[in-house]
Order: sequence, then C-alpha cells, then structure tokens
Amino acid sequence: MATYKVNGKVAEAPAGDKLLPHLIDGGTHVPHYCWHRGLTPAGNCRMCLVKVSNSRKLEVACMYPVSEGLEVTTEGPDVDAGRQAVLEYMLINHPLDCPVCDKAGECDLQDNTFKYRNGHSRFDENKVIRHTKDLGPNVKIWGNRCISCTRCVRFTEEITGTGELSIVNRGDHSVADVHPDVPLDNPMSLNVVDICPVGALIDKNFLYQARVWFSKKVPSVCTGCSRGCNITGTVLHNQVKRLQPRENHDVNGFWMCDAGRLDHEWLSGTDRLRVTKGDAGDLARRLVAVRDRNGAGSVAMLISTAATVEELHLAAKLAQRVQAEVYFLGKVRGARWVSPSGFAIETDKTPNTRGALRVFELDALPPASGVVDAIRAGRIKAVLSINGIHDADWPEGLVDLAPRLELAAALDVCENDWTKVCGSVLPSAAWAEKSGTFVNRDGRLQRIQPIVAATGTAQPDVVWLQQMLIELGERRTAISAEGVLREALRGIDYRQIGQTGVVLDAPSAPAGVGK
Amino acid sequence: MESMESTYRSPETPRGAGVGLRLRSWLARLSIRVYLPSIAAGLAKTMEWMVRPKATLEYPEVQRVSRKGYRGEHRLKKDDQGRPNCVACFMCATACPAECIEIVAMPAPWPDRDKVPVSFRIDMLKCIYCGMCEEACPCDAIELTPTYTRVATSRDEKVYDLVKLLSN
Repeated sequence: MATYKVNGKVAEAPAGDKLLPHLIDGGTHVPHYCWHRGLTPAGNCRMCLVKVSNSRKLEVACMYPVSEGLEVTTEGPDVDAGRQAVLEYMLINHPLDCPVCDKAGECDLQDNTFKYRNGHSRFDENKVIRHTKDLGPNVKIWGNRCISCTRCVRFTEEITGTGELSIVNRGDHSVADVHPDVPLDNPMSLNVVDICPVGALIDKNFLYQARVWFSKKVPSVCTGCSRGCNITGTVLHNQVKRLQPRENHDVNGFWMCDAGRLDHEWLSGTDRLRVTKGDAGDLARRLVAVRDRNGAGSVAMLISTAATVEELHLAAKLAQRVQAEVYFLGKVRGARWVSPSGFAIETDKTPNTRGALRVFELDALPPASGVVDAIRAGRIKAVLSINGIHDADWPEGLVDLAPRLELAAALDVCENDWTKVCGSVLPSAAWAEKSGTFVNRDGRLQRIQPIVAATGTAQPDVVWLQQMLIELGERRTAISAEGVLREALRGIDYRQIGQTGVVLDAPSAPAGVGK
Repeated sequence: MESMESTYRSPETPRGAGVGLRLRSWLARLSIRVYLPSIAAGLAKTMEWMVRPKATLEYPEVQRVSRKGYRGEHRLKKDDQGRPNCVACFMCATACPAECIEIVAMPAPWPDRDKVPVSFRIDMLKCIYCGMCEEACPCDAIELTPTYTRVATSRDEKVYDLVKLLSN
C-alpha cells in the first residue's frame, strides 16, 4: 500500500494502481470520458487531468500510477484551465444539437461543458461532417457526436470478444464504425449505448421515446433469464421505455444482454389481460368442489417458474388446501451463451426456477407436460394455471384437452390459447407492476418492485391467491408481499435484500423446466 | 373631509375692500354655496364625453386589434417548404410552467433534421399564456399570436393538435 495525498487529504491505495478509480471511490469529482471501470484504461480523452507532485505538467489520472508520497490536486485554476482546453478541442467538431439528441440530460459532455465552459466557441471554421448510419439491428451512430473515446471499441474487444467496432479515419475525421459487412450484432450490443459518454451511439428502440429528464428511473431485476441481472427501468407516462443494467458485481457486473433489455415491450402490448373473468373467491370454492367430487389429486396447478417466491409460497398453501398436484411451467430457449469476459446468458428464461425448488422443497420440478398426461389418464379434472410471462412453454395438447376438464382457470398476464378456453381468468400484474423476490440461478435472493401501475383490473398474484385462501378459511386477512416473504423465508425482509440481493444457499445451478 | 373643505373654501374678502368688491366676494361665496361651478364643470365633462371617440367596440362586428407582443393563442410556424419548423426537442414542454404541452416525436423523413413531432398538443385550458415556450424554442417554431377570441363548446376542442397549431 502506498500513502498519497488528494487535495491535502491522506489516502491509501496499492502502489502502481491507476489513480482515477481511487479518486472516484474517495468521493472526488474527476470528469472523464474514455475511462470506464469495466474496461481497460485507454487514456485518450485527456479529460481526467490532475496536478501531481511528480510532474510539471498536468497528468491524466486514469493512466497515472499511485506512488508513495504522491500529492494529487484535482481542482484549482490550472487544473480547470487544462480541462477547459480539452473540452474546447472536443467541442470543435461536436455539434451543439443537444435539443434533438437523445443523450441530453444524461450526457457527460453536456454536464462537463455546463460546468467548465462559458458557452462560447472560438472556432469559426466549418465543422467536420461524419456519417450517421445504422451499425446493427439495435444501434445507430451519429458520427458527428463521436469524441473517439474508444469505449465502444474496447467493449466489443474485451467484453463480447466480437470486435465489430473500430475507430476509422485519422485526425478530426476519426469516428467509430463497423467493418464492412460486419454489423454490430452480438447478444450484448446495446451496452455500447450505455457506455457511450456522448450521444453518438443510440438505442434504436429508445430513439425519441422519452426525454430523460421527464422520466423516472427505478431499480429492479431482469426477468429475462435465470441470471437475474440488476436493472434500472426508465419510466414515462406509466410505460417502461427502456431497461438499463445496474452495477452489481455479484451478478452482472456493468452489463446486460439485448434480449433482457428489450423484454419490456410486451408489458404494454394489446394482448395483456385487463378484465377479470370470474371471481377469485368463487374460483376457490369451485376448486374445492372439484376436489370433493373427485377426491384428492384431481386438481392440478400449473405454476410458472416466473412467479415470485411470495406467489409460490401462497400457491403451495393453496395446493395443500385443495390437495392439488403441482406442475411447473418453464421457458427454455436457445443455447447458453458466454462472453469471453465471463458474462453468461442462460437457457432457462424464467427468473425463479431455483425459488420454486426451494419453496416446494423439490429436487426437480415436475414439467408441465405431466399435466397433459394426467388429464388424458382421466386423473385431473381441474387445472389452475399461474403464469407471469407472456410466452411460456405451454405443454402441447393442453388447450385441446380443456373440454375434458370440469374447471379450467388461469391467473395470467397475457391472453393466449389457454386463457381463451378458461372459464375463469384473473388478470395478473406483470413483473414491472408488482413487488416480489426471485432466487437467481446462483441462489441470490433479489427484489423487484412496481415501476409502473397495472392497468385494468389486473392485480398481483399475491392479491388473487390471498383472496382465494381467505375464501377457503386458510387466512383471515390479506398481507403485503413483504409479509408473505417473511412467512416464506423466515427472517428475511426487503430491507435486508436491499438493491443488490442476499445469497440464500450455495450455488449449484438447476436447469430450467423442459416441455 | 379636510380636503373637501379646502377645495370648497369660500374666497376670503380682502381686507379694507370697498362695497363693490365686498358684493362680488359675497356673490362668489353664494355661487359656491349653491354648487353652481360644480354643476357647470359636471355638465362640461358630460359634453366632453359625448363628443369624444367611443372606447366600447361593437363586438363581435368590430374586433379589437391587439397591441404588438400580445400573448394569445399559439401557432407553429412553417418553413418555406411548408414543413413545420418544430424539431420536437421538448424545450417548450420543459419550460412550460403549466405543463400543458404534450409532444410525441419520431425520426424525421427529411435529411436536414433528425427529429420531427408526430403529435403536438397544447391544452389551451391549462395554458397560462406566459410565452415561456416561445422563449425556450431553439428553432423559432412556436409563437404566441394576438388571437384571443377562440371559443369552444367542449373541453376537447380546446386541446389543439398539430394540424390546428400549424394552421393557426
């Protein structure tokens, strides 16, 4: 460890480490563009200039090593003058189109210009015009705005290993671009939009959807696969406009995959269920009636592994009460994809397979196809499905077998072939509209919270299931999702889970539920 | 009351005045007692207003011309090719203290700009006609006109859309 001084205050860091991360961790504001904690430092934007005792000129903090007795000054007229000069060079060719730029409001260049510059430019010549074009299916580049920081280039080299991007041309004509016939099309391509410090790389799905200063940012957890990446949702007018990764080094680092990022579009789709068909209390009584007529084991519950721990706990209580057989509805897609940096996209596309194993105390989850066989065998007379995602792997033949059932009911988020044949359909709140917890594949308990309001008569499954349990005399009053979690996992509450989750048990990843 | 007394104070008879002067002074005091000057002044004022130009307009046959800079209804300006100047930057909506401007943007079909409004709605019933939108606009696209006379039979009619604002 080396002892050094930052603005007169003593600090400690391993000798040889780069200065910038330690300055930022110590709470010192140092503006920077090309440096990103998840990428190797490049030292090309020159914005993080600081004064160091070992050098007569200003040095870039992202490349300067910590050494014993070093004195660092991060503010003052000479440091500010250096940063102003760097900014002036950047703004020579950067267009002042902030009013129509999607990055405005969360742009580092805009913020620093506001802080360090007086709004005046001495550049009277014509600005260099660079390309504006599609780089891939999701990303578009406004080359004029590019400051050639190479964050995106390093991302495709170091994180995805695909290397589609590079800086082309020289001098003031240099700009990020893809190689000919190689579009920026990898499973993590949209991360370059987040790390772009200016508005050069833009998410085509979010383009002109919202001005960020009107929107609200809410932390949540991605439900796109069993990894459970931490995310931040951008919400405007009660609609999820964008999902972005939230830093959590135990789960996803700084990144998330494109599929998870675009998994919000169905939330406001036209096929969402918004009207209640039937009644929760009535449904509970009818389930009991089927059980009474046909004996124990004549009711089947088809529960999605996208249900939260709270919902699974209540579903287990209901299954016990109506002596139901329980089957699980999963969603397994594609092949596992692991980036060279170790970021993995799982095949189990439901967030809570592990939570289901824990709540039902099973070693393997009975797949949904079992319910079809049981109906064919004439054992099952009623099916209640509890589903939280829009395109689960429904077992083949279930819909055709519906006429053989005395009762078909669904708690679902979207209209599908199964809900169309169901007598009772209770519309559920989707992941963005409810509170709850998921256990990811590594056994980490993470929390989701409502980031938009549910529409129509949709309610969280926790509410529907408790209404049913109250009708059956299992409970007297309904409690919050947090209360249910306290009941399900003794001694764990939402405050403890916090924003980054808690580890429940040792990692041994289960596979998803097959068809 | 004090000021009233001072206004209607009788002229003083000068000291050591002759009979004629005393008489005139007495007549002056009498005329004030019976309000003759006030009646004359009042009648003169009435005559003056009878011949002065009228302030009242025969609305709606005759309409008042607003002074320059009057802040009435908004309009969106068009360029020489008939396209709206607006680039849907939301600066007006950001500056608006009444939050009455609602814009939906889309990528522009023309090469000279990035963004255009696909919908631009102003709720005239929420608007406080402060003109901040006009000041905030970087493209000189929105403007408050001197028009103040629009009436409507429903609230929906007072929510102006893009077509209405462009034709205003």
